[in-house]
Amino acid sequence: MTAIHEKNKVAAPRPETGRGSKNGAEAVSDMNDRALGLRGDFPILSSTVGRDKLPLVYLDNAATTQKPRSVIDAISGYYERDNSNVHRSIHELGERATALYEAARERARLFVGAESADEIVFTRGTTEAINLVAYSFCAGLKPGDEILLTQMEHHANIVSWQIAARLFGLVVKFVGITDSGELRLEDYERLVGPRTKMVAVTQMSNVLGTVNPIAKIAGIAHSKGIPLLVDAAQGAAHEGIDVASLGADFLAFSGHKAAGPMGIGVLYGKREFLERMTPWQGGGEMIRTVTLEGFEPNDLPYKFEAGTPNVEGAVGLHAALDYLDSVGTDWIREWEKVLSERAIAGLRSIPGLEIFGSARERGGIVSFEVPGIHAHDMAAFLDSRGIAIRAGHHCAHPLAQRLGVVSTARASFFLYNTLSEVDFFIQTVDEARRRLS
Amino acid sequence: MSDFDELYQEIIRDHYKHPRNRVPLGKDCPAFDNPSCGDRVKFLIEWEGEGEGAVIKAVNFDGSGCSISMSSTSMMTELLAGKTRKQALEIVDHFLGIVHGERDSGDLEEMGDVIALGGVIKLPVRVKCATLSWNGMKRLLSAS
Repeated sequence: MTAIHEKNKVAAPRPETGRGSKNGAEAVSDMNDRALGLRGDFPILSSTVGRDKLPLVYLDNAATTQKPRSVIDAISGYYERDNSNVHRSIHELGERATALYEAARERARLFVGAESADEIVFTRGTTEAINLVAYSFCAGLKPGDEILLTQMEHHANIVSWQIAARLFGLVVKFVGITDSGELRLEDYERLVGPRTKMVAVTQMSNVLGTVNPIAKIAGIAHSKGIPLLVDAAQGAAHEGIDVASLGADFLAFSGHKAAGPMGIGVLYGKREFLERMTPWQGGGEMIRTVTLEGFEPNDLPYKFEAGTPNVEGAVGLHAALDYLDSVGTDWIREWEKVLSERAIAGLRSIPGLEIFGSARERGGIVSFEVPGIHAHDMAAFLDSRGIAIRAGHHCAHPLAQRLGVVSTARASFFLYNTLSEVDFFIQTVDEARRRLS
Repeated sequence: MSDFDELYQEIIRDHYKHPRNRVPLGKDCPAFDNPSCGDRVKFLIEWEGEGEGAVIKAVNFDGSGCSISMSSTSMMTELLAGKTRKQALEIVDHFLGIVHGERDSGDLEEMGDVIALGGVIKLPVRVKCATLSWNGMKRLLSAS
């Protein structure tokens, strides 16, 4: 174990107990000990990078999180014991694989707090889930109908709707953001009109870290009878995604940003909407009967799951959601808040450095720029010290244009990051500033 | 030498901080960009002479990007001065051939400061930074 990941006092992970009775510093130290313990669950975190075999400091969690041993084992165990196609193979493995796939659906239902597992559609990820809704929901709209998005969306939650707008003659409108990186809520009152048929918004900005007031936005949309789609790609593992308290009619998230595997995601959709929507992709599983004249679609959720599904991914996602709940979303949120507040305070002390976004409610994502140092060069310098961050426009061109930047550097945290990693990150950003500018 | 120092050699940093042939260029100059990272470069080629015997008097550029893309551009402008269209295209193709693994990376030694980009070639994610301006120049020289 290298200095940066050294444990200071407590050797084993401890359950979160009695923090309320301790002072702040002690509570933070306890949380740090727990994070250090949780690192042991993630095999990749003990690996090294670069020729000098540096300890890996992984701060690119908004792009994808690392996976705990339990997820890796669930996937390999599935292939070693249970692999088969689902829903049609009349043999024991077929039954096992089907049971595992449907158990994962039930697990996802529990995680998002849906009423029925029929409201859980497995997709490739958040992007595919949003594309599904953008096509299938919008196919039922009339030319001139409007979709209301925001300026801080990821491309997945913009372009899907722009494609639907081209296909069906719709109009896409955007709620603006303030200089501090919050949504201009007053824009909703102005832009929601009689032709607005869908409101879609991200739960947490993947660039600014802003956590949006989803329940409030849901209230505005619902008061006019408009459904709300929540892009929970950044929220799922970090903020909690109870669809009832959020007021989401649709909610999309990816397994791989929530400790699970790539290639699996979840679309939650309220039954009343999913039932009315037209199928999206055609193929096996999504039909009840097919004749040369036409087809009759299957029941929910299979109507939206054409072709052999990603059973491996669903099994891995099941293990990931178990893992997240065992750690506790509340704890994860609180710990990431501690890490990002420390990162922001540290970065602010670096001369010239600019942080993008200063929303009151924010999660564990910090984007920044040091004038005169291109974000790619910053990322390359950090990489040479073993620190992984993201540099670029983060798939949010309209937001980058609003901020007036081409490319920013972004650090993003997860449950296994530690105080010493944050300190090392800040120290290395400052070293880059001294050496590169 | 650390990985970083090998990648960001002194020559690269010098070209980034003191770019050669960089001047503000207007909207009508042909521009090439890398949509995935936002890097962008524009060119204005000054010719001397007529027909096939014409040589490049200077390649002026303007743009923004990381030190790899900007230094690579600066180095290229130095290399192409005094060359005919045919010779310039050969140099550009030579570089792109090395970067894409079709030629030996030892061939960079004939290309002046460009040799400093040797470390970049080993990193697939940075190759697009190094080749932005060379790909643009190839299109420009082939088209006109």
